[in-house]
Amino acid sequence: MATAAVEKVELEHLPATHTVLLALYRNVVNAGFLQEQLLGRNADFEYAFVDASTVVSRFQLLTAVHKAVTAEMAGTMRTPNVHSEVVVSLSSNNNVGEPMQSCRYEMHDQLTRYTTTDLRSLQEIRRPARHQRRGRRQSAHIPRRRPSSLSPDDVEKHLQTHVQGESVPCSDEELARVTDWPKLRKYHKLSGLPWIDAIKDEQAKKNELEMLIVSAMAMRGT
Amino acid sequence: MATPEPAAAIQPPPPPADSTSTHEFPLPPILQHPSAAGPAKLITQGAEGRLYRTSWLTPTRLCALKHRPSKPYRHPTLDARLTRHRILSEARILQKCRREGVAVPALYGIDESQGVLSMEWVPGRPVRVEINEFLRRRAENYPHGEGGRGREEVTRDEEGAAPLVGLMRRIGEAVGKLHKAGIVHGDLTTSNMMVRPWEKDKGLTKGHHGNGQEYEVERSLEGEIVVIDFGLASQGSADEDRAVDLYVLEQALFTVVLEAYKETFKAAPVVLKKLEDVRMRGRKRSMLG
Repeated sequence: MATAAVEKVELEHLPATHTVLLALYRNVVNAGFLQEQLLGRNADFEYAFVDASTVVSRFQLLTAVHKAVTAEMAGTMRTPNVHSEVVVSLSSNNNVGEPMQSCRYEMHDQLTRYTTTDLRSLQEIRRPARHQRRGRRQSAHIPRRRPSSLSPDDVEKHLQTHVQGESVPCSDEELARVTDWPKLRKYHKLSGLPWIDAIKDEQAKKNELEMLIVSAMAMRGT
Repeated sequence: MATPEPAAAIQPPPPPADSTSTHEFPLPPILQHPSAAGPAKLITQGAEGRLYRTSWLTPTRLCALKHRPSKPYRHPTLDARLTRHRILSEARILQKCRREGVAVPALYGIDESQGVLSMEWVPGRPVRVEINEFLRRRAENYPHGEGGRGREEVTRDEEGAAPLVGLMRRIGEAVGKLHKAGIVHGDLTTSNMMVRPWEKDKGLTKGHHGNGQEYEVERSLEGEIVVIDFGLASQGSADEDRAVDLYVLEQALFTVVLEAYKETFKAAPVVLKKLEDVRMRGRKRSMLG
């Protein structure tokens, strides 16, 4: 309880304008409420909520974040904001003809899934500095601006108030406990690969699958 | 300067800002952002691209980042298209190999507009280096050569040759798998194949995280063959192309033998010159026949 629920992660090769905050919750009981905030586009809920059972590892998750931020910086996002872009980057679906729609469905889908299965959620939050769009960033502005947007503490407080669930560290171990492999293999079309099933060492098998998923995520949308 | 006039409606990609004058070449934009692991290291430079070793997402995960810089002599639109096409084609091939269980680097990320492809960093050393060193070690272990001749020739029966035979077999298997997956490599040299230490020996190769402490590891050609650099690869099942792959490999492997031969035998250049004659003659005969 006393441990920090929100972890700040600095990603390699991303400008200082972008900060990644990660939090993992189990047994979330108010997923419906959280979903409403997202669908209602409540500006206070600028989070990418992700169903943790579809996440293999921090590496996979951060790959999605990296991809989303890169897309935001390049102006090639397929969804309205960087948070939804994270969700889409994780998804196995390449069909984002109507970014708006598909992003909503995606989140809707994700969230109902926890309510129907055994209620866990992973929250992954990104806060780019607001001025980022304006281009011509003077590095002097960045440190001053950042505290005025949300600090990790603010985010943590906000989440603590609104997410009713058990906060656990967002570690590979915790993620592995909730990963739903059969579902993931179905999502990412990773069945019918006899050589994978032939790998005896469970960890080695998972590593192979993780890399396949990450590679597929990298390819998606190109 | 005489740069071609770009058509009005076409927006050329912004040139990479080379504000980092510490570097010899303009870095791809992604490498101009901060990294806790320090600056990227240029590993090799080819005609088409540059390969950097850098970190990916976290400071401890290494990645091989391939950058195909834009060519100033090409029309910007054509340049962007070619770069995009080549990056995507390489990425698709890596992905396909991976799915088919061919040992290749995993794909981490692509930014085709910037001409950047990020892949898993494969630990270990190229086959060429490993074989050379193996042969050198053997020459040292058997210093009693006749007339200055070392033991460059390695036959199946000879004691101690098993690791090399094993390596050759694994190379054959790797190429076989690649072709079975419907991929033709296009540049199958011994530099484009890595010997990745087996998982159980991983502890021995930790030195790779630092800069260049690669020599501390004692190995004997043991490891998995990982084919790298699919920049010239294509998807296809033409036996002609596959045969060309094998031809290139044959030449590459024999080159290793010849290198060690030259190092051990003083009169090697004369013999090698003669070898050229023999090759020519051989070819002429077969062409006549």
